[in-house]
Amino acid sequence: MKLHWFAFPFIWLLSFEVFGNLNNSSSSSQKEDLNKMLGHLTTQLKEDYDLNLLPQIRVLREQSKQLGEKRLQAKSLLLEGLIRQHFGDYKNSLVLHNDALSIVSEMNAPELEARIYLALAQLEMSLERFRFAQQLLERAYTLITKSVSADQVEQLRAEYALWQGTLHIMRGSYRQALGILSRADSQQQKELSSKLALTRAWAHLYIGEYANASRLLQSVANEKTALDKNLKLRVRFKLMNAMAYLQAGQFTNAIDNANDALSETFGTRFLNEQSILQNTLAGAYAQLGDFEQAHLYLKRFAMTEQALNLQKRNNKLLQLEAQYTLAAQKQQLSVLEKDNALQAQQLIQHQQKIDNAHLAQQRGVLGMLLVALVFGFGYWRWQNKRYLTVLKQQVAERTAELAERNKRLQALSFTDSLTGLNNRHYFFSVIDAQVNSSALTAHAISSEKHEMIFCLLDIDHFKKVNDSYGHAAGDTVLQSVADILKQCTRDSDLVIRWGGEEFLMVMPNMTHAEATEAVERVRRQVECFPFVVNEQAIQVTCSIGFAPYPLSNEGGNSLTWEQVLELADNGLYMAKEESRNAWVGLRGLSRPFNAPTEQLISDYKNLIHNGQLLASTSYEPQS
Amino acid sequence: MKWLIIVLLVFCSSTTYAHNQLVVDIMSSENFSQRYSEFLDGRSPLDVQDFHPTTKGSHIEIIEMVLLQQALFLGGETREVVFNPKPSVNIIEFSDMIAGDSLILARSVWHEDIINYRGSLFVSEAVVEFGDYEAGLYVAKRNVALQNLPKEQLEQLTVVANPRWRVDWRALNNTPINIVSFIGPWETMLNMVETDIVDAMLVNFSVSEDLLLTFEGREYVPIQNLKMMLPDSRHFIVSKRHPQGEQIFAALNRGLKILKKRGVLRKALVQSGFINHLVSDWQFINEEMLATTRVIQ
Repeated sequence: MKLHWFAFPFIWLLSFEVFGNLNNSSSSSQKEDLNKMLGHLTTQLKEDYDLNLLPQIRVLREQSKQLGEKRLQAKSLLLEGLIRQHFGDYKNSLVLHNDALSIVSEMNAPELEARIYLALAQLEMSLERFRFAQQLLERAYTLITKSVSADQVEQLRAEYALWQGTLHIMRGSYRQALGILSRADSQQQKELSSKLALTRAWAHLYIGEYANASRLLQSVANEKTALDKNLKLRVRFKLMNAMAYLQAGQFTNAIDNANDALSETFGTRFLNEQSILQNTLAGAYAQLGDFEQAHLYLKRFAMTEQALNLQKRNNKLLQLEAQYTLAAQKQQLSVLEKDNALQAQQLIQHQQKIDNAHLAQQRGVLGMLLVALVFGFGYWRWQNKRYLTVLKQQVAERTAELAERNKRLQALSFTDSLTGLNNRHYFFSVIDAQVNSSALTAHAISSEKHEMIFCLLDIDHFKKVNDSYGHAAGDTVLQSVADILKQCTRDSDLVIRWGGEEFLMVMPNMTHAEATEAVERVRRQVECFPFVVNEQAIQVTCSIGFAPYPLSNEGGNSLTWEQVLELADNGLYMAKEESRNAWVGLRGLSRPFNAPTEQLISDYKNLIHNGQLLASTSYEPQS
Repeated sequence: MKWLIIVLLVFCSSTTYAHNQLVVDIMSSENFSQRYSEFLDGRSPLDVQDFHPTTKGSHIEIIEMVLLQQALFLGGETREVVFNPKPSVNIIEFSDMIAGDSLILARSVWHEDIINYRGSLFVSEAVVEFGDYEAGLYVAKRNVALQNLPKEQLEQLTVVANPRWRVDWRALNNTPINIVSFIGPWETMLNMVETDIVDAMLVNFSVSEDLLLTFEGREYVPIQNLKMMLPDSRHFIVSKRHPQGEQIFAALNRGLKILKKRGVLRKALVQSGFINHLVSDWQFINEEMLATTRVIQ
């Protein structure tokens, strides 16, 4: 019966499971068969780690997988993992354990999960990966304290303490191990209790407390069943007894116990125990003085250590290789990632270039559009301005033209077409302004009597000329008279064709004497002018009447220029009536004269004759 | 005849002289005699009351030589102590002591190392109690970044250690520190630190004021505020097989108890800098190894 003592919790667990499953699946004969098979395998495993069990375990696993019995599947995985661990196939053992864990973690079975963590921790301990082992133990502890049902807690706590204590011992923290182990015990499981006691004794021995160790060993010895069933436990028990005897100086007892234990380890893989036993024997023999035996066991010890070291070395090598492979894979991955990143970067750069080109193109087009727009706008503005200028010029030209036309029109409307003299229309447009300016001038030079003379001229017997010589001859006479009038007047005087054969002269700023002179000159010029009509010389005379403006009576009533003009007309009429080819010019009013203006006009002739109106004439007036 | 008498006289006197001496073995490789003489400076080891160091090197070995003599004297062993250099190998294996060829060692040993020989060796009261032995993680002085490494980042640290120094090995195994195993001279291990093959090495705190360790012109300093407890006690051992073993051991243990009672042991360890006041408030890296319920044997 060769059995790794690490295996017992699992075997116990498996048998428990078998019973459980038997109850649950009594209806299914297939499940029952499987459970029986597991029970059988578990019993066989208790006998020995028989490699021939592996095919059956695999069959069990396959079938439980098909039936969806996940617990059984996980158990079978653990079972195979345990065998593989025992034979040093740590790698696959680790894989199997992890497979079992992944199955169980989906099941919400915290106690099973905690047990797998404990199993994994043991695996890591045998690989001397203490840090990982510690982490796994902590996970198991968390599950045990938080999730596991109350009826399982005590059992699992004890198991946890066993493995945590073992880990402390392996790391060399013996007092810490004692601390945790001394608080743990399992009343239900005698075997577990024995294991706890043995591990505790082991810690005591490491710090030289052999008496405490002996007491614990004695308690284990009292519980024989566990020792009888479990080979490894038995070997360990004897080994520790031997160590305790050696420490106590009881060399013979130490040798007996050690030899006893050693004889049981032959043909097993308990190299660790063998090595410690051989060392113990060597120590005991040396202290007994039997150096030959001491040397023999020392040599054996050295060989076992060598084998152990080789095993360790291989494990470490495998770990290193695994690490190296992982590192190499990571490196390859990182190279690939870098490559990918580089390509991605290049792609991005390329894309960016394209984008930039697009952008540049868009900018260019936009810029060109803008330039074109600005240019177009400028051109439009320029054209517009030019057009405006042309328009303005045209408007100015038209305005000027219009002004010119207006001027011409005005000139035409103010001019008599036959004589070229201004007409009555012109006279009425300027006379008010002339009268006002004359009034101002009159004020300025008030010392001498300068007046504005309104003088009316009419050609004598003009009708006769028209009738005798035709209208063309009459027109010629009119033109000649007009020319004479222009020559005989100043530039400042107004010469107007008053209508028919009648002309009006307005001569500002003139004394009566100067007026008579001017009028006489006109009369004479007309009388003497050689009018030629139809190649025939004719004589034409004219009659003239004039009156000064302003003119006031005694009452201070001033006459308007219209009234003055009427007085001049009266004078003309009088000259025509009394003489022809003569003139009558009103000089002023005799004082005191206070007749109304209407009378002055209507009674003009009489008033002159009475001497109430002062007038000059070119002839001798008839009384 | 005259010659014979002279020879006899010389022989007798020398044997009488030899009988009046207590031979204590000492490692020939660890020849501390010069430093020992310097420390005594003409004093008798029995008169030493002040254990303050006079050298910068490790001081505990000198103190132990003095304490051993004081303990023996107080225990009733008044013979003069003579140190006898022996090859290191013999002493490490304790074979001479087990066989009774050697009576007593001048240096204390780790309890762990003699557990299996307690049938053949008397183990004295602890000179250094469990938990009192402290050491620092020494790094090269130029390696400024490591000097203030916090405890949480110790997993980044790589330390060289000799697996044969089992106590050191165990202490380091209970930390997150990475260990590089090296079996070879101590000097080479220091050199490994110097050449950055490893980051640090576990060394007793230096007795110098700034804890600086100088070796062959190179300087090393401990990582600040972190210290390691070496988890074992140290004891003097006496051969059980040696005819005088029992008597000497009885005297030694008596004397050690007196010294302990008078507080001389503690004083010696504190004054010598072995229990270094400079690191008294430093944090233990492996304090879990301390916090346990001690089971009394």
